[in-house]
Amino acid sequence: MTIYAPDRVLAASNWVGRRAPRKEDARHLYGRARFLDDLPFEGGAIAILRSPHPHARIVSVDTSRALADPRVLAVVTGEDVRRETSPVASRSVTAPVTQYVMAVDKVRWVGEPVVAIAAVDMFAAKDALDLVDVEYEPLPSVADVDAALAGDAPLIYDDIDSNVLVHDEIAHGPMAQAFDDAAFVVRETYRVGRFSSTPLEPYALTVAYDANNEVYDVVANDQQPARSIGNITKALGVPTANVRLSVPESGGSFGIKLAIWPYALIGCLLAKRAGRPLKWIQTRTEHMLGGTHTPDVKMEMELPVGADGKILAMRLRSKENDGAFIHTAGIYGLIKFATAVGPYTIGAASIDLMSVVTNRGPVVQNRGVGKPAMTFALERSVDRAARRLGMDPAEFRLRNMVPPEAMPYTTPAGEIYESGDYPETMRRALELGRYREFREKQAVARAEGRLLGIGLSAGIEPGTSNIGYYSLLKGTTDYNGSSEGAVVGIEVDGQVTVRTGSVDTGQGHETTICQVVADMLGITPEDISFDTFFDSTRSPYTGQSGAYSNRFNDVEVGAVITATERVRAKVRTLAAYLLEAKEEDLVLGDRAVHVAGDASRSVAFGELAKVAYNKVVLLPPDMEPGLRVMAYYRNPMAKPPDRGDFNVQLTHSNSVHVVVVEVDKGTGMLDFLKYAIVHDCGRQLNPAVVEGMAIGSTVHGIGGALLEEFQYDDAANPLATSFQTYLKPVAQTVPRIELGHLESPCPYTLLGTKATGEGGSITSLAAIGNAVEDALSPYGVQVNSLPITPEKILRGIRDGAPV
Amino acid sequence: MIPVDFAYARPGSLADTLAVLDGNPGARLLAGGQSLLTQLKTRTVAPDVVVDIGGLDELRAIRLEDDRLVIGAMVTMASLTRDAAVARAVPILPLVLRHVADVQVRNRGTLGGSLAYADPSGDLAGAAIASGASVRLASSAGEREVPVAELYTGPFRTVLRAGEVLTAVSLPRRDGARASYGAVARRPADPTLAGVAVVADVDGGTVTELAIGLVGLGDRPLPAPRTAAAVRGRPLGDETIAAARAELDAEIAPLDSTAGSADYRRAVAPVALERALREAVGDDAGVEGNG
Amino acid sequence: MTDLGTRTATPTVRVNGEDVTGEVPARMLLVHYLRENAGRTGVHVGCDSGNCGACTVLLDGAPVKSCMVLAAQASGREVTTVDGLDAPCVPALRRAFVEHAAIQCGYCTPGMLTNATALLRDDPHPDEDAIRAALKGNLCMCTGYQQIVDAVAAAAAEGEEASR
Repeated sequence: MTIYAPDRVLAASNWVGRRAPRKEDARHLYGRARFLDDLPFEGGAIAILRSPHPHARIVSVDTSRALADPRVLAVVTGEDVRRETSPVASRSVTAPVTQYVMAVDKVRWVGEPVVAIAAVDMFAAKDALDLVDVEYEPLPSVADVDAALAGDAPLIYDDIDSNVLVHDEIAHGPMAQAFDDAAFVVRETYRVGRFSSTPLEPYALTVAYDANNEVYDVVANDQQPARSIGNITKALGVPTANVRLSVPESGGSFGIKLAIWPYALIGCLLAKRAGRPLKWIQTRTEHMLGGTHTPDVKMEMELPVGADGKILAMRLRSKENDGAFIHTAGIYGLIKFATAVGPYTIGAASIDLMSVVTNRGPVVQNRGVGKPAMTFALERSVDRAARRLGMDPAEFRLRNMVPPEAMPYTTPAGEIYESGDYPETMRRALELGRYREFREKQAVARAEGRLLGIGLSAGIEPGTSNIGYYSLLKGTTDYNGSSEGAVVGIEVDGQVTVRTGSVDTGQGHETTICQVVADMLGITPEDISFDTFFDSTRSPYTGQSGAYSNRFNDVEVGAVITATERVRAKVRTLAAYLLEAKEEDLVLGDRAVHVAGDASRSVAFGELAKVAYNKVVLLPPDMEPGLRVMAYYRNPMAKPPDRGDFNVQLTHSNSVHVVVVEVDKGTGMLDFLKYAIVHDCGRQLNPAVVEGMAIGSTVHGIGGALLEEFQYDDAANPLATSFQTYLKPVAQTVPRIELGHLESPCPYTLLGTKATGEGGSITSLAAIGNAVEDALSPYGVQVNSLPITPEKILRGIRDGAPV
Repeated sequence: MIPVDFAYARPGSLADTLAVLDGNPGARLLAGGQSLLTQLKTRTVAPDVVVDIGGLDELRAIRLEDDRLVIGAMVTMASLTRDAAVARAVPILPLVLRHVADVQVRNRGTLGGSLAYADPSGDLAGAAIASGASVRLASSAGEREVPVAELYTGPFRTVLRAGEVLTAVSLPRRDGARASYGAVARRPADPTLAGVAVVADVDGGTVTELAIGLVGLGDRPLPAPRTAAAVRGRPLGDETIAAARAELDAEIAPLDSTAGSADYRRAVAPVALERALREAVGDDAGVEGNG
Repeated sequence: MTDLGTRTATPTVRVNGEDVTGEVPARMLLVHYLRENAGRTGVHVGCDSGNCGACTVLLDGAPVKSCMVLAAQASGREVTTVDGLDAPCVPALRRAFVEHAAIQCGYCTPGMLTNATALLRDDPHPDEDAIRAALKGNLCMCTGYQQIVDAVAAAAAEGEEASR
C-alpha cells in the first residue's frame, strides 16, 4: 500500500520543505503570548494539601478550621471525591484495584492530594492549608521494585495480594532455537533512574461552573484534551456537553501534561461548591513530587549471538517502578515489544513486563515512553556483544542492520519498518562524527593516560500510536491513536482558516500546517489563520486527539490535508461553473482560481466565498452552500489487536548518534568532545522545526543520562523536589550537536513525513552510556545504570565497580 | 510560591535596623534575598517580621582602610566582580565569584548576605577564609569583629547573636598575591562539593606564604592551617603535594547530601587542592593564577 | 519608637517608564506585582526556587529574577520587562531568535531575551562560552539551548557589522 502522494496533495512548491519563520514567534518575543495564567480571570484560587508521608493510613481529616476562615470558599476531601466521582480507570491494569484522584483512607506517595481548598485569592488558599488537621498513622513503605517484590513487602493496594499490577510476556519468533544456536549470550541487568522533561510551565487550569446549564467550563494546559473530557465526564457521571474543555498556549509538555485531568476533576468539584471561577497554578515543587516522572526501571536483557556475528534474539525482563497511581501503570513496559529489536534483523523477541507498585510518585508518558530505556538496554548489550567478538561496534551494527532492500520490513511482533537506509545512516554518522579520526585520537590519549571514549547508538523512533497495545492486555479496544480531525474553510472575505482537534505545545504546528495548506491552495502562510487553541465546543476532535506519540506529521497533517483537498475540490468546481471553464484547465494561485493561459479569466477566493455563503443563488443548482469542511483522517496501517501480529506504531524514523567524551580521572566529571547525529525522518516540512525537535529531544536524553534523577530515600521520601536538587542541563553543560539528514519518504503518510519529536531522547541514553564505558575500558568498568554521575564514575575508576 | 504573612520593615539607618531587631527577636534580615526568598516561598522559613536592609546605603561602600579593604555587607556580587580595587587587593574574590550562581543572582546577592547564610558550600566563605577576612558585627550593644574562620558553628549557623547585623567584611590587602580556586560541582553554579581557595605568595616555585579556605568539605566552611603549613616554605613538588593531600584528608569532615556524598567529596578534595596549588604556583613565577 | 513593619506595602515601581502603585501584601513577590498590578504577563513563573530564570526582568538595568525580589523592595526603582526592552541590540536579537528557530513553546523566551539584552549591552561581542555562561541562569526545556545561543551570537555579529 502507498499513501504517499505529494503530487496529488500539493499544488505548489513554495513553502513545504522551507525554513519558514514561525508564525508563533512574535507573540513570545514581545511577551504577548497568553499562557493560562496570563488570561484575563476573575475568581478565586485553589491550593492542595498533599501527603507528607510515603505510606500512611488517614485516621481523620478535620477541615472545620479552614471552613471557618471567611476567605475560604470551599473544601474538597478524599471522602467527597469518593462520594461524587467514579474511581480512576486504568489504561492497562486489569487487577481489581480501586483508586481515586485524591487519597481515600490512605496515602500512597509523598505529594498525594489529601484536601483541596478554594479561597478568595492565592494568598488565602495557601494560608488555609495550615488550617486543615489531618491525622496519619504511618505505614511501612517501599521505594524500589526489589523491595516491593520481597516476600514481606507491605501491600500498597489492599485489594490485591501483591505489589504487581501487570505481569505478562509478549513473545514472537523462535526463541528457544536462537538460544540453542548461539555461540554466546550477552546477559546483563540495567537500571535507568526516574527523570522527566519537566515543561517550564507547570500544570495550570481554571474551572467555572455554570449552575443554570450545569456546565463545567475548564481551561487547562492539557496535552490530550480529547481523552481528558472522557475521563472527567465519566468520573462526574455527566454528559459530554456538560464539560467544556479549552486549551490555551502551553509552555511545553513532552507527555507530562497528559496527567492534568485528575486536577481538573478536583477543580470541578471545588468550583461547583465555591460558586465562582477558580484557578489552580501548580507550583514547581508540586510538579516535581509526582505525576510527572518516567518510571525507574530494572531490565534484565539477554542477547544470544551466533558465531557469524548475527544477533539471533532479544529477551528483556522489564520491571517498571510505576509508583502508586494506576492510571498510567504498565504503559512503559507494554510499549516496548514491537520495536524492541531496534534497527536490526533480530528474528525472535520476548518482553516479560512487570508493572510494580511502590510508594514513589505516579508516572506519566514522558518523551519517548519506554523506548529510551529499552534502547539503552539493547544498544549497551549490542556494544558488549561486539566487544565479545573483538569487532568494532560500528561494524557489528552494520552487520546486523535491516538492509534497505528488505524494506518494508516486518519485525517479529508485526511492526512494519516502512522505509529507510539504516546502514547508510550509520555510515554517514560515522563520517559526521569523525569516528575513525577519534579512534586514532583515542589511542594517543590512552597512551597519555587520558580517558577518551566513543559511543554509538542506533535507534528507531516510531510515530503515530496504534495505542491498541493496551487492548492486548485488556482484550478490548479502548483507543487507537491513528486518527485526527480538522476543519478548513475559506471565509467570506477569502481568508483561509484552519482548526484541528489537537493542541500545540511548542512544536510549531501552526507554522508547519500553514506551509502545507499554502502549497495546497497556492497561497502564502500569511493568508491563513490557524486557530491554535483547542475548544471542545468547536474543535473537531476524535477520542484520541492530542499532541503525543509523535503523531502530528502523520494524522494531524493528514486531517488538514483531507479537509483542504475537499475545500479545494469544491473551489475548483465552483470556479469552473462561474468562469464557464473546464475544471482541468484551472490552476490555483494568488488567492484566486485562474484559467491556465488566460490571464483575463480568474475568480478570487473572496468572490467564490461570497457566492458560497451570501449569493447562494449563483451556486450551481446541485451545490451545497458554504466553503468549510470538517474531515477526519485515519492512518490505515494500524492493525487490529492480535498478540501474534501487531504494530504499536505506524511510522519509523531512524538515527545514529556518535558521541565522544573525555572523563576527568580525578573527579569523574566528563566533557563532550563531539556529539553528532544523522537521522532520517522522511520528508521534512520545515527543517528548522525538525532540527529544534531533534536537538531538544537529545538534550532531554543527555539530562537523563548524566544529571537528572528524582531520587528517593529507602522509605520513598523524595529528595529532589526543586531545580536546586533536580539538575537540568543548562546552556553551559550541553554540547553543540551536529545534525545530518537522510530523507527516505514514508510510504504511509501523505507527504512522506515521519516523526521527529522523540528520536533524540530514545537514542541518546545508550550513546552516552557506550561512550563512558568505552572511556573507562582501561579500568574494565561497565556502565549499567543511569544517570551516570561523577561519583559512580570515580568509584568505578577506584575499585572497578560498575557504574 | 507564597510566603507566610509577615510584616515588612525597611529601616533607613543601621541604628533603626538595630532597634527593629531588638523589638523583634524572630525577625529575619533581608539583604540581597537570593537565599531567603526561596526559603520564604517554600515556607521553610516563616518569620513574623522581615527587615529589609536594602535601604542602608552605608553598607554599600568599598573602601581602603590602611592595609585592609573593607567591603560593605550590601555590596552585590556583581559589583565585586566589576571592581578593579577588589581584583587588585583581594584577587581570590573575582575568581571565586565566577563559580557563584548566575548573573541574575549575582546582581542581587550580597557579600554580607552570602557570608551570613553560612552555607557549608558557600564559595565566598572559602575565599574570605583564605583571605584572612573578618566580619564586623553591629548590635545596639556595640560592634565586634570576628574572623570568618571563626564565624561558623555548623551548617547554616553562625556566632551572630540575636539583634546583630553583619555590616562589613574586612580583608587584608594582598596585592600581587597568587590566588586560585579548585572547585568541583555537578554543573557550574551548583553547590560546590569540594572547593579549595588558595591565596599564596610564591618565590621561584616555592610557596612562601599560603592560606587555604575549604568549602563543601565539612559542616561549615573551613580553614586548612595544617595543609597550608605542609606547603609553606617548600617548593611545590610531588612530595609537597603528597604531604598536603595527606594533611587535607585529616582536616576535612565532609557530610552527605543529595548533591554529593561525603565519600565523593573526600575523594575529590585532594584533586581540587592539587589543582589549585599547581595553578597558583604556575610554571612561571610571573604568571598569575586564573582560577 | 521605630516602625516595626507593616503587613501591607504600597510600592511605586516604574515599569517600562510608567509608575505603577498599589497596596499589596508585604509578602507579594515582584513577579506577581508585575503580572497582576502592572499587567506584564510576559514575565513568567517556572519554579519556586529561583533557578529557572523565566521571570527575569531588568531592575535598574540589571537582569534579576523577579521571583527573588519582594515587590516592596523594588519601590522607587525601574523595572524593564520583555515588552519594554529598548536597548539598541533588541531588534537584532528578536530577528535572530526567529531566524535561528530559537523559540519552541516560548515560555522561557521573555527571560532569555531580557538576559541576552543585558549581555549584549554590556559585552557586545561575547564568544560562545560567554553566551552560554551568561544564560546559565535561564532554563529552556525545549530547544537544548543551541538555537538560542546561535541567535544571540548572530545578533552580536550583526551589531559588530553595524558598528563597522
